[in-house]
Amino acid sequence: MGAYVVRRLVQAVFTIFGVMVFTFLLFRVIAGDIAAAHLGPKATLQQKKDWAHQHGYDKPLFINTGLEKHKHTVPPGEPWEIRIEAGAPENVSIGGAPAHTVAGVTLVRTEGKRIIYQVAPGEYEFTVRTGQPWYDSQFVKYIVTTATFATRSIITNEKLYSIIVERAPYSLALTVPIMAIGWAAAMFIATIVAYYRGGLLDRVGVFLSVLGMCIPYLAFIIGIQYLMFQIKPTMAYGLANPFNVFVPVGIGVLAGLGGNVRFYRTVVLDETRRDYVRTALAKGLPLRVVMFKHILKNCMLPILTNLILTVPFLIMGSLLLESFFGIPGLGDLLLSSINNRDEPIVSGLTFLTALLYVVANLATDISYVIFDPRVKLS
Amino acid sequence: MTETSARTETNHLQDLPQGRSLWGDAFHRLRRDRAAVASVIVIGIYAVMAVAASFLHDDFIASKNYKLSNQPPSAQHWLGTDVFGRDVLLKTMLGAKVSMTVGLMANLIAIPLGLILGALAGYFGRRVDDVVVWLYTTLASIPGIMLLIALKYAFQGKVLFRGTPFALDLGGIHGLYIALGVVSWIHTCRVVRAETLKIKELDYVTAARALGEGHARILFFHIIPNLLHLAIILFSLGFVGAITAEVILSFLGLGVEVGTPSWGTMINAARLDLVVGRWWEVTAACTAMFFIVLALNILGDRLRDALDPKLRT
Amino acid sequence: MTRFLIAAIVVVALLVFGPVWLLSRANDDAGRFEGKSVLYNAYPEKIKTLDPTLCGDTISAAMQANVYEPLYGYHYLKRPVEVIPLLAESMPEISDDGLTYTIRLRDDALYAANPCFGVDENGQPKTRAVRASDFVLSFLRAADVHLPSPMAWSFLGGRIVGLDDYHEKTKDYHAGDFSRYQLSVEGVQALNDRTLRIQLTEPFPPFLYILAMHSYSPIPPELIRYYLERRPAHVRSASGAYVPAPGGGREIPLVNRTPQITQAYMAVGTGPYVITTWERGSRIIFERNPLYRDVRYPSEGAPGDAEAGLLQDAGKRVPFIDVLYYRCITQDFSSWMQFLSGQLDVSGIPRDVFNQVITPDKELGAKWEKRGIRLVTYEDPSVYWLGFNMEDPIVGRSKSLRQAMCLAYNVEAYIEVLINGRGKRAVNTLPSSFPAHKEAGPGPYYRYDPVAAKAKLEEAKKELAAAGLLGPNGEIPTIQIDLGSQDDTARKMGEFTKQQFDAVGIPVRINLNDWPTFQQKVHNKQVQAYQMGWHADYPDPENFLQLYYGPNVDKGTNSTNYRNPEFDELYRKIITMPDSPERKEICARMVQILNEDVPVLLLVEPVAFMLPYEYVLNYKRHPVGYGMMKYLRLDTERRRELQEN
Repeated sequence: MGAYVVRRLVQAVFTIFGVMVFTFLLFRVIAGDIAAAHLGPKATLQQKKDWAHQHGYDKPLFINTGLEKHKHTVPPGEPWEIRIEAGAPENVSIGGAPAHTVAGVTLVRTEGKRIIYQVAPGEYEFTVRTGQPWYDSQFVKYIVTTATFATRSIITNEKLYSIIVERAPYSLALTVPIMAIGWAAAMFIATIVAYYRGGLLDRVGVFLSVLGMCIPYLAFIIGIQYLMFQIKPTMAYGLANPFNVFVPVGIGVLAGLGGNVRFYRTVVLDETRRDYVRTALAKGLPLRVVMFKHILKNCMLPILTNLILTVPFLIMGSLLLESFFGIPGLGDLLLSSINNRDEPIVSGLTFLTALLYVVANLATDISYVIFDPRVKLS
Repeated sequence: MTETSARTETNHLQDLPQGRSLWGDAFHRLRRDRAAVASVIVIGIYAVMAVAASFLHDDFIASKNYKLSNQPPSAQHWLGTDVFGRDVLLKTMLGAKVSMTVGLMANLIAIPLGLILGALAGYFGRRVDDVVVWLYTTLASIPGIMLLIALKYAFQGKVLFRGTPFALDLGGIHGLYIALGVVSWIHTCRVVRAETLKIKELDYVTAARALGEGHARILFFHIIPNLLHLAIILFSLGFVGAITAEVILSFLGLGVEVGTPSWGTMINAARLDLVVGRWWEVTAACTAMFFIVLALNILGDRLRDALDPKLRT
Repeated sequence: MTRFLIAAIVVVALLVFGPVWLLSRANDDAGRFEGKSVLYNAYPEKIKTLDPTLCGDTISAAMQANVYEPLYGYHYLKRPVEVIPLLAESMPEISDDGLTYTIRLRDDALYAANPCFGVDENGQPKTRAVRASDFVLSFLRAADVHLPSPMAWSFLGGRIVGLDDYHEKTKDYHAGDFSRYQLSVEGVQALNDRTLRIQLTEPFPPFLYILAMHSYSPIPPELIRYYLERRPAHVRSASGAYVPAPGGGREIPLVNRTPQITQAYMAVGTGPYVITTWERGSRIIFERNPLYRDVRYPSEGAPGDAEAGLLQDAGKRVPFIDVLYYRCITQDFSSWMQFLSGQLDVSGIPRDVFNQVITPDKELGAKWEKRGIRLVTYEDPSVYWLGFNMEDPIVGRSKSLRQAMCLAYNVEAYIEVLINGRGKRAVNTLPSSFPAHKEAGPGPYYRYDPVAAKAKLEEAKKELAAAGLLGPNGEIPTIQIDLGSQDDTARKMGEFTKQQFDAVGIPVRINLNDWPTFQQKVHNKQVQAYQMGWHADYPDPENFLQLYYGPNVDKGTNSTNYRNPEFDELYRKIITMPDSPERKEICARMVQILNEDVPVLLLVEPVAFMLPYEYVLNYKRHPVGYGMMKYLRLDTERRRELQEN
């Protein structure tokens, strides 16, 4: 058992590392013109380059070779003045030879860290020895800042840690009640429906749950918010009164009820078909007793483990609910951060969620081993 | 004397009931179950609609009429018109094509992938298990939204196997299938892996191993056949998931190509329509979705009942 | 089993009611503004920044304008718009060669009280008058490479003597090393406390408009020292007085410093309001600045203003409203509902509700008037279009193809179906409120004529065939049209566009992108046709014509990559000319060149519809200016009456 836990812990570390690599790559794929995303459409190319340089987005992705390549093409006509930031002329070369010895390139002067050349028409590839260490790369920086919880938003310069502390309570105040009430309500309904298996109640139950699954979330939100605005407008938006939160909580519960009832009913029914149930019933025990004494208890394991796996995502809140009800939680922060290319926030939040998810996974796996004797581990 | 006894013996043999395989038995049960039959018929209707849509598509596009924008249901248009004056009933039927194909294709990718990886992980354990579990835990920890957006970006504008009949338009709907497939195999894999862990300990499997049968034989002839019923059930439920995912993807703007009618885009367009009293488009899409989802759910239920060996009385 | 049930119930109850306790910090403002006039408004997106130098979007600009004031502003009522002095005492003294601007400042402009100026013996923050050197600091910040200003630098780059060199020099400084603000720049000098001199590299008559932008509001150096170099030395006690903060005044280590103004308490301006609450993404509350100088409501206006009741407060001291309470509401459904229930005082009209609210004659429906709502329409000096990538081998090379596409697009139907008729067709690249627009006249291809379109298309096919660019069956290759958003509005627009071109036989494919990807594609010239719009930064045609100036391709503002030497030459002429009939004529000629070359497919000039409640008085939208909230007044009696029912 102990060996199993250790192995899973090692796996967890690998998983977290894997998630970090994945998120890092994914984000770079999505990123597009990250400078333009932050500077807006009226920014000049030079500004975007400067911005990317300041935030380290022009550094190499994984390993810094200490060499930077700049391609320049001078069109026919007048020679151009090209400025290269290199510290000293010795650091600049073209094709292996010092730059100013190449035909067409003359060293004009040095201005601080910048070397200024006069370059005749043609195509040149300047290689600059930057003297940067191999670990000065985007990925390393990403790992270091994430692991030390030092990530800062590009847009607001706030620390991710303080953003989370400020906003998570709102998201949690929304999702935790939804989870709790949702579980209780779905459990209650599923038990009743499974009890009357095959009867009218069962069929109606299945019908209604599928209906619940098919009505778009948006329709629930709009419908109920519209009603609230007719009945009691002050409760229909915002959190001026903390109890206003129960309106979106109610919507969340209702919208999720369909799917949850379906799932719980399946679990309970599966359990009902076990041999020991048949034996108990054959022995003359009423279904009600068997249900409460045995079936529900045994159902709890898969249901609760399923529930635990959703816990890490609770902190993200519900995007739509937060957006429609003006709840300043984390959910819409993630989506807006993706849309605004606030890369540190996206990476930081994903890392946090992944961390929690891995922990939750570990907990459920171990609890399965402890509580379900049928599962054996090699 | 011997002649009569010989005859009765032969009659005896003929009177023995025919043995049935699990599949044959299941099929027999389903045929008699009214709900299951109804579900299959409904699914069939949707499949027919999906195929017919390809032929009706051009007529639908040409039927635009800006003067008839957003009309409520009437005699000419039973479910009203959309923003470009086109018949909503026709649009809903054409939307079936997207949903059916997305459901089918995404799951044709997800289910086999999850099945094979899950079975391998459960059966071989150790390293293989570690790798597979690492893979799906990693993927599951990343918010699905990010994964989908990233895949869509990576696929934008790319076409694989261009020029051949198997051209994969990654930037378009094929990319959507792959993206959904990649994201949804995890659940199948997990369930299959858990089931495999149990099947592995069953007597006849242990017997097969003791007899020295090779891993491939055991996998193919003992493990996987016992997982197929699970796969079918997961397929029918995954179909539902793919259809709803298409709705959400349209909300995120990642859905089908512009110009293709789909339930997802119809629902997404509906935000304020409901308040203004323009209910027909969103209700049509939701109702269409409801019936196919209900049919798939019931069929999935009945399949589980029919294929579950524990129900043999 | 019962034990389990009880445990479950307890746990569920805890989980349900516990988190509500976390919300006890929720924002209940009951009674906070007793006796004051409060305007409730909403904004649809988060405020990006409170730093004037970093301002680049309309929402941040609108918010900042309540707090900061630049040298010049715009007259509230007069149309066409007129520049008036704000913090300057009078219009600038411009040298004959148009290169030197000498500006005298007012002497009664005080900053809002802030501890960065010191704290008196009662714990109250002090203030001081604005100095010319504060403006110099603001220009230096605009040129600072460590402040990624989307707009502030783009207007100054290359225009002010010595500022470009300064921009380069700032690269040698660490972001937290503010000694760079002590450097002297020849083109921006404070001659004394009240005189500012700016030297341009070449004459640029629209420069006056640039001085009217909030990006160039004065920044006191005390702000940098107090808030950005060190931890704030004071903290606010419960009684509201400022007391020395424990550990305050300490220097922040260089690497942790940011040069940006990021918090509401750092937003020190001379404007009519100060920010008392800012919860990002949630709400922002402005309250009256008690130190605001004496500014009066204008006594003159545009024709029709007096009849509309916009002059009844003439000569009175502003601001009238005590509190501006803004909520961030991202969903227009929620904000619309709030408006209807009287919790917001002004609102726009969401597209889907439009036909319910506005009659086909573009007037407010009677039932809405009865609820006390009024309709205000105003023209926005913006134009929206589909740009062509002139470097693309197909659409860039074939003028006939572009002309065919323009003729094929039924913009009138677009306006009716997709934007409820809230706009008019743009017939040339300038907004219709610009005088040069009328002089240039409508472009010959900016009309709906499918027959002519098909004829042009034949010509286009010949052109492309000659270049060997037609498909194997002689058809035009599919044209990619890229849009900059992925929501339903974009999808509908895309679908409409596809329908237009399908009708004449031009195959197109619509790509929906999110904004940053879209930007990247346009920037890397990976598009063929793309959606774009431009809102006038200032009321001069140069602001629109610069989008087609050749050298601006490398600068990044010319995204169509249009290059025409004749056009460029004319541009260089008008950029230094002061306004005159000759200049208008040259602008008109430039527009006509564009009309012929059609580097863009013009779509609409939008018309905006706003719904204020009738108790919001003096409501008039300004096309380019911000900071006009100070002129609004609330009829609190009428509001109470309306809210009673």
